[in-house]
Amino acid sequence: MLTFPHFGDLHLYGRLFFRELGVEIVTPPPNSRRELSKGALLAPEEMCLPFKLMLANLLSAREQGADTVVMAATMGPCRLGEYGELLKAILDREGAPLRWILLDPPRAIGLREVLRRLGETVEDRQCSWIRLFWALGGVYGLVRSWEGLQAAAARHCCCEQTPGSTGRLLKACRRELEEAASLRQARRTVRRWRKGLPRTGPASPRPLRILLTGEIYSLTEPFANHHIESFLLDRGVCYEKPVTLGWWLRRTLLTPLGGLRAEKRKNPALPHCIGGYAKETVMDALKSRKRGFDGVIQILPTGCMPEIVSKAVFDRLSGEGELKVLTLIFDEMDGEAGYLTRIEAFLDMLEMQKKKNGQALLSYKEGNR
Amino acid sequence: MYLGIDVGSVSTDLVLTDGEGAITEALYLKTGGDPARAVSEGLAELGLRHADGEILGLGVTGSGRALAGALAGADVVKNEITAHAVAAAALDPEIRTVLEIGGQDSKIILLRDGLVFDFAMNTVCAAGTGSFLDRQAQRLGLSPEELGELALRSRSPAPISGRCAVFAESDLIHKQQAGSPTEDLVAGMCRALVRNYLSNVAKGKRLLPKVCFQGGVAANAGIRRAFEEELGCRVLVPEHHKVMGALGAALLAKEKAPEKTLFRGFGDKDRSVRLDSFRCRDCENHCQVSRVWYDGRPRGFFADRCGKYSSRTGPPS
Repeated sequence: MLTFPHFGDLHLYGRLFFRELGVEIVTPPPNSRRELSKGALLAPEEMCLPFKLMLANLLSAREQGADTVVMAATMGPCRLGEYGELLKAILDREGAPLRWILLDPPRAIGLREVLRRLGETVEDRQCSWIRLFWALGGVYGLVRSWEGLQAAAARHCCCEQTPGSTGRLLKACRRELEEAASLRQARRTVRRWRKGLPRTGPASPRPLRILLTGEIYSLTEPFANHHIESFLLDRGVCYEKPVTLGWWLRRTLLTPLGGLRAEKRKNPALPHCIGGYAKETVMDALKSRKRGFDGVIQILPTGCMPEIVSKAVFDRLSGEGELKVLTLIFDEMDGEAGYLTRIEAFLDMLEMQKKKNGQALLSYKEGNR
Repeated sequence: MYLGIDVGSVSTDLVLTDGEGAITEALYLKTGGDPARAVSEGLAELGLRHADGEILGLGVTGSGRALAGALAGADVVKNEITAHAVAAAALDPEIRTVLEIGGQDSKIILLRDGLVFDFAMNTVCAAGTGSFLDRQAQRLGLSPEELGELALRSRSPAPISGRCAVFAESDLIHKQQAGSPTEDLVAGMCRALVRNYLSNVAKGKRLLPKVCFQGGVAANAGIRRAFEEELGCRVLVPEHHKVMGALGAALLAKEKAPEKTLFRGFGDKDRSVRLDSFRCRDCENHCQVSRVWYDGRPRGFFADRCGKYSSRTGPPS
């Protein structure tokens, strides 16, 4: 049976995709403290949080009967791209071997090899290539519409009538998606919930707008960032998160040229790709100012080299008063008070600066946590 | 009058200000392991000299702000960074740098024109905070106040590493066994703490005068002198440096000027206060809601996301 580690809503998409093809899969239990300590026990001490969580996911999936892992590997640009190999080495050592299907991008191993590996995932069910591609298209459509719904929620959360209703809407929709019988039904579900959100954002007074950026796993997996998105939603702070699973798919798989083009693009503050998506993080932040964002929140796990470099760039830019950046570093820590204090102080600071400039502003909601 | 309460990890402070924002009374209590107890005792003590009706607004801050807000009925619940900044700006609008070192955390706040411009908090470890100083003072058999006085007498401070609390302690013990006098050790430790603060919390920030130093550690004259040496400018320690967070909270309450305050009264000393929590299952959030019991009756709630409980006020006592 197939399995794959958690990565935000990947388990939603994966379940529907393989169900469409008739392949049985095992979804590892959701990330939690218990899972994390399982992974931390076996992972190298200095390893980052995403790795420990993925290791725990695979161990749990194996206990539930999985024997094959499908994982996207990007051959860099960060060591996350090599995690497949590392995970395999550790699991073999621990006497928990699994069969590995690593989906590297076509640029690294050639399109033919990618297709061969993709075929391997469905080899026990004689399904046609047409069906496989049809399902791939369907799942990509779902990724786009579901991410679109989440982005719209993040834009409109400031003008909700009852506090917390936007967050609840997303949760209810996600639960329905978890139970959807087919891709078609899932897409209908997203469309239906989309109607519950207003079409246009507030014009005046304007709410605070935040750009959420940083390391991709920590941004995508809510457990790895202490549910920062639902925190912002609940406070009525509009935010945009450019780095998502859909963004990664577009960039890495669908338009390999787009990735090349992105690498060519000039970035005055960080001209070279230094690994991970540090260059993109800095680029998004630089553009955010022109696009009318008030501040940037950068998220990274402890020990993430590329994002530490972009943090250094941010330190300099914010010292010069060009950008307002709050960096949050997540690790195995459980207490939330410190994070909440920092985020609230950051929001207060942005509000003060805005009011000083005489701009009308819709204040964010004070919390009681 | 406006009341401000700052519930920190080490101390719980209460401040009463008049209509102009000047401090009329300040209390500095140990939080111990029981913040609810500390808040209700502090309130009871103020209640001996003041009537409930005098209070026009209550602001709470600190890591226990949600708890204090639920217990006492707060009009403003604010994080401690904003509170400290507001207090410093009210003290002197020309202050551009606020150094704050408390029991468990340390922060730096940069102000421009009396508004927060940039801030940072310690991220990694507590080597640069008051609990480290307290521990070392205890080991040397000194009180925290003596520590600062002793440091001022040193002629040649011992070189101590401030990178990490464990390194610092082993350095200290090594120098002590090698025969350094206590005042040099203590002065070295103050320098180490200041260097650690500047390279960790204040990294990459431009610290412009006037510099204001507040928080419990500001009482330590050795640390203050080490800051002055490192920064090359005078460091101002306000008279009420220990309770600046509470002052900021009171000022925020004054700024909001609620028509009718939510403050529930001072109460008296004999009332019992305890906390418990339950899981709300009304929606997907499944919040773990905390409840404050006062005199055997539920009085306030916090930690619910939607505000269903926390907006509810318990029966008046």
